[in-house]
Amino acid sequence: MDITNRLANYLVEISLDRMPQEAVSRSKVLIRDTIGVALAGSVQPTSEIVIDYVRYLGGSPQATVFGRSFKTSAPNAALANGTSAAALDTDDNSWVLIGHPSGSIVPAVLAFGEEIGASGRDVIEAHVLGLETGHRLAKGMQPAQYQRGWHSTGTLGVIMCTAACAKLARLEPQEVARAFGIAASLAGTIRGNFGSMTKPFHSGTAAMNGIMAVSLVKRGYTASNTIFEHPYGYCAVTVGKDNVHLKAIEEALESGSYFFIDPEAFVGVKLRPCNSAAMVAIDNTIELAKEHDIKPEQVESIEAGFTPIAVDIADRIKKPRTGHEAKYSLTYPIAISVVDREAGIKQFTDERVQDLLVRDMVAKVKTYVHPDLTNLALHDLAACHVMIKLKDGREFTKYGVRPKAYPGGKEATPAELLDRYREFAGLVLPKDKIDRSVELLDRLETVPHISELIGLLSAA
Amino acid sequence: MGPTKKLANFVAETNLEDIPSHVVEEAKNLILNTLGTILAGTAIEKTAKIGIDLVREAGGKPQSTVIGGGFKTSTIMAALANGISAHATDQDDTDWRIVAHPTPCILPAVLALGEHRHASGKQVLESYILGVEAEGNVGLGVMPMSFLTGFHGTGIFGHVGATVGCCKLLRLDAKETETALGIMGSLVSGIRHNVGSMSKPLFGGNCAKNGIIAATLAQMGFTAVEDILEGTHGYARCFGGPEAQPERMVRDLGKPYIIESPGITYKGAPCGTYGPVLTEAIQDMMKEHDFSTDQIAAIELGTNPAAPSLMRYVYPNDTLEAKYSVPFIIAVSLVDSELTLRQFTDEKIQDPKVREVISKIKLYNHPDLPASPDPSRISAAQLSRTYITIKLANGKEYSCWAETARGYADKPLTEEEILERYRGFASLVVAARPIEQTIKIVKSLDKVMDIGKLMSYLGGR
Repeated sequence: MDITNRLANYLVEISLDRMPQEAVSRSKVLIRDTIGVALAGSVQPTSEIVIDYVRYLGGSPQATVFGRSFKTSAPNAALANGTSAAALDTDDNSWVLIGHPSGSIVPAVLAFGEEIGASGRDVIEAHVLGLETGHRLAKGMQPAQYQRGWHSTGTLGVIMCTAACAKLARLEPQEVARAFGIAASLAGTIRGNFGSMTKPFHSGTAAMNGIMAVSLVKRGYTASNTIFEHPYGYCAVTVGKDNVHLKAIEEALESGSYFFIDPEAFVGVKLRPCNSAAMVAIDNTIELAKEHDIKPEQVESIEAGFTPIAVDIADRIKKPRTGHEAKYSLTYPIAISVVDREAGIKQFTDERVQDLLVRDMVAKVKTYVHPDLTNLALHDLAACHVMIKLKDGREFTKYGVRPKAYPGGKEATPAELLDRYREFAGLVLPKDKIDRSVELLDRLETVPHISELIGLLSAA
Repeated sequence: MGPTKKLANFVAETNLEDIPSHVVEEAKNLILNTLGTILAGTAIEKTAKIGIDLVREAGGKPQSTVIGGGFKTSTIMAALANGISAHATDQDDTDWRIVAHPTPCILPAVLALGEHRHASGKQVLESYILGVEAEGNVGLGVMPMSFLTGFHGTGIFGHVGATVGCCKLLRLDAKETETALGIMGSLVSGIRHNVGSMSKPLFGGNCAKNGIIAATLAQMGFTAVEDILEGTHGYARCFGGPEAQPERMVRDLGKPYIIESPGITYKGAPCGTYGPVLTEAIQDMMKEHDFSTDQIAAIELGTNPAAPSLMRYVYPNDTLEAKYSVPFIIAVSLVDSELTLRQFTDEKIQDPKVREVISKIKLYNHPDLPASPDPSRISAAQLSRTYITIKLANGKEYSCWAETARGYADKPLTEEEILERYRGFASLVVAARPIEQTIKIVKSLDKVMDIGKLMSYLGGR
């Protein structure tokens, strides 16, 4: 089966005017949200180091580093901005991909788009096709790739960024196929690094390598043009020959669907800056704490039942010591949701994690695989059953399947999403720039030069 | 103590004084050899030219020399270009037990970072040797599973070598080295399917670039897990699956150094490793039995079952595929009576005489050769072992086993041959006097105060 070739043709054929309006408007929401989280992330310690390093290395002034006042080469800017977008772990994600797509695609597309002079329309088109490439491949590879230990944000991310940049560069189908070949040789990010600065780095390297793959192909660099279907190709190598379902990828390619807006495979705005498996647990716990006005000192214990995959994703660190580790635990997000009745970026700081009262609460949280949750579909992986026992013997329970701002979960209103953007951007940018960026992002498809928008994201 | 910690301690605590002097001397030869392949790559391979163009346009502070490019750029971009160039002709060296080319990944990283940090020749040597040592040992913990899955050793093990080399060069302590290895774990990549395209040499550049990034970020305080080799979703599991042996990765560090035994082999021809092994054996048969190319009616090659995946092209479409086509390599060497860079041209690929000989060559699985290599006994001989049968038009038939070629441990090159080989490669870019200067510097590398001196001869243009 010539999946590489078909995917390449698909990318070349589809253009914005053939996309449903819903896809375009949803893409705009996700692009704005990603820019917001990248701006907020640009002042996190993780990004500070990567940005300092990129500044130190220097580069031709092709693309803007968000939240700073310098430009550098497009690959270097993408490395910095991709890391910034993922630094808080509140960038959008998809449970079909089991990863965060826009955190790498948007930085790649903006950096490369700035270098080559793309329009707003080009950027949306590339973003949508990047997302769709990832979802189509994921149909035949997930959850096997993730279960093998790969962090799909990076391993699928580099493929998605390559697809998006290939679209921006208007490559021919044969060139697109080769760009995938190069990207596959650059793909590799492993879950062992969850809970450290190196996890967000995966989005940065995916963005950087996607640009490199396309830039090399543009200059005539060669690679395999059958990289997805070959027995030693991308799919077989990352998930094992027997676990690849090329047929499923093929069907997805023929479907004509836009998977990223499909209710079952939706890319969700991720309101909580922690692992996605904990998000329903957070919603449940905050609701219980508010409904019953539960004070931390009243709590005897908390039992939280999860799906097996949620436990696989995030239950390694039981007693986190840093903000980073806290993001990749299941115990801490629940504990802090009782204590603070909130789980935003202020809750995942080292200071908060090391607070002794919070630590006491973490010790009271017990996690387990809930027997009723073992056969759920992948996109229901965050389903959670929370029971809070109080010292006076009362017990409160809540069950939920989808988190807020995801389909099937509680809706996040446009106003809430705009507030989120303003809050995040406000950590770095003055109000006038934010206002102007909101206006441009609102009518992104009519912006002739993306540099007009990107110029606003610089601190200069 | 876990394997990651053991490796980090070994790297942090071992210095050049602790390494036997014959290992150091051989390391100098290996370094010289790869400097040669880098220079040759920049002179004749389009692959290298594209790499250099890419980094020139991306730009960067003038920290390190782009060999053969005539300019300096940031450490990582220089390493990217130099690593691609090093592997572009595919005539660089091999660590057979892990089926990987170590030096094109490690040396460009150590040189680019070393030039910028004004490292001494001694630092470069110890960083390089420890890189080779770490790479070759870590690889043994996931071989042959990684190979059979489809990962390319040059990519996935080269990251270890380059990262360790850069850690040592930056004098990171054991803790920082653990972190750098953790960061590296998230940068590692390399799949076999790209063999026969420009994206094979990309392994060299990508490893070198990422090794610098991992070590430098660790020095700057970036964090990563401390048990990357053995951790639940870590290196061993991702690349070796459930059969991986993390303990094996650190069992034999420095006992003895790989450079001493089993040794890093030189490759006699710019193509896949079967090329020199089979062509040398065939040439020997022709001398011994005194027959010529014209008399050959058929050549049958009994290989192990892994061989077709290593060398999968029959009638190659371009010069890169030609490097991994056993029939082409044998045919062109029979027609031309040599196997050098001159044989890998579009003209030779189209040559009807060569194509006629290709049609006489047949590969089959030899019944005596194992389905998959035994991880505890992987060797050059085992992997390339092939039963050659040549049938002549007059009905005579000759057979022999081929295992190794010149430059392998059992048939070492002489000192003079190594120097001649280097001169041949370097002369494509560098004038005669500076070539001799670079030989002098590398031969006394342990006494060189600043590696920048060597690099100043290698810019070219």
